[in-house]
Amino acid sequence: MNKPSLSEQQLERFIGSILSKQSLRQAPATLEARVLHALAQQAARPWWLQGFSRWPMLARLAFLPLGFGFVKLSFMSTGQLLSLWQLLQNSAPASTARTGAQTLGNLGQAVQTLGNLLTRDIPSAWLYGGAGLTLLLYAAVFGIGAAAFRTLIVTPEPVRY
Amino acid sequence: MHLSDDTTVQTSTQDTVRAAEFTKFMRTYQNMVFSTAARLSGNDAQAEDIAQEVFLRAHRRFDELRDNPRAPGWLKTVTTNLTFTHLTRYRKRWVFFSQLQSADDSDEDPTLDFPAAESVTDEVGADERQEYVAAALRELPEHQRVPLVLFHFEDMPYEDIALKLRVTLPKVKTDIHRARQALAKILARHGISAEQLEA
Repeated sequence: MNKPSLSEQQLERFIGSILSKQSLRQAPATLEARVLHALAQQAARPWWLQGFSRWPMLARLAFLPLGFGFVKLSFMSTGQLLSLWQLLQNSAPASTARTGAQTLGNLGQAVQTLGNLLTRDIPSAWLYGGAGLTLLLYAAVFGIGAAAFRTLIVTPEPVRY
Repeated sequence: MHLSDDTTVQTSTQDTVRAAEFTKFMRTYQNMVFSTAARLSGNDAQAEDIAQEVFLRAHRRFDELRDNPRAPGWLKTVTTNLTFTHLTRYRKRWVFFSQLQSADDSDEDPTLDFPAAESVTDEVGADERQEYVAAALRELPEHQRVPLVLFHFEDMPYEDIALKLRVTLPKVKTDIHRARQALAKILARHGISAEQLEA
């Protein structure tokens, strides 16, 4: 059986020639209606939900001082919060933050104690085995995911005409 | 803010004219926008979503775009970028797994075999060929189809494709070459070969 083969340049010319003869595809008939419907929906939205450039001039002008006022208010609130924090730190009996930090510290100690108990009572071979099994399962799940991706998405089943 | 009746009527007429002009603009370019998105994404439903978004953006800038000779270029660029945005969420997986696949495929025979002349079917009509080529493009894996479309339909050089896709230049060349081989194989099954095309 005679099987002629193409060089890289011949192949490029062949495919280029085939693709250059492709005409534009017909857009779906629904596209125009969809766009016009979306535009109508956009236009029907109240002005404050539209882009800033579509706001009425008065609203745009009013927004600027309001925006600056809001920023200033944020800075002032931050300052007030910092002052409050300092006040709380100085008043020792009502120091809620300190109590919270102590609780966190206790929790950390409890976890550490539990860890110590586990490492003392459970044989190290079991711990290493468990870690190894976890890694193995992770690799297996990753491998299955990769195989599924390559099979189902990257290389779909070629269509036979 | 109080508008007189005259101003309201004038604005309404302007809106109607603008809407009619935009509809005309959309009808002129919708096939181009849809084709670009469909070829790149390989998915007609996605391409329609992308085309819709492109025209919504075009509407926002319609005053600049109407009667502008650069409008088709702007539309193509926005379509390409939006299609990439659609594909971006898969890009990391795509680059990683396509490189795995390239390594797997490296022992493939680089030369392309064509069926012998006696196995070639009857001559294929132009319309039928369009359909076969479009279907064959859709069947290509994304990492081959995207650079091939950018090269052959968007006239983008290899270097620009590599930059755009954030992959190496040799990978772009390899993917495009493999895409051409795969396309040629599919077309050969339909009796479309280089020899037939020249004849």
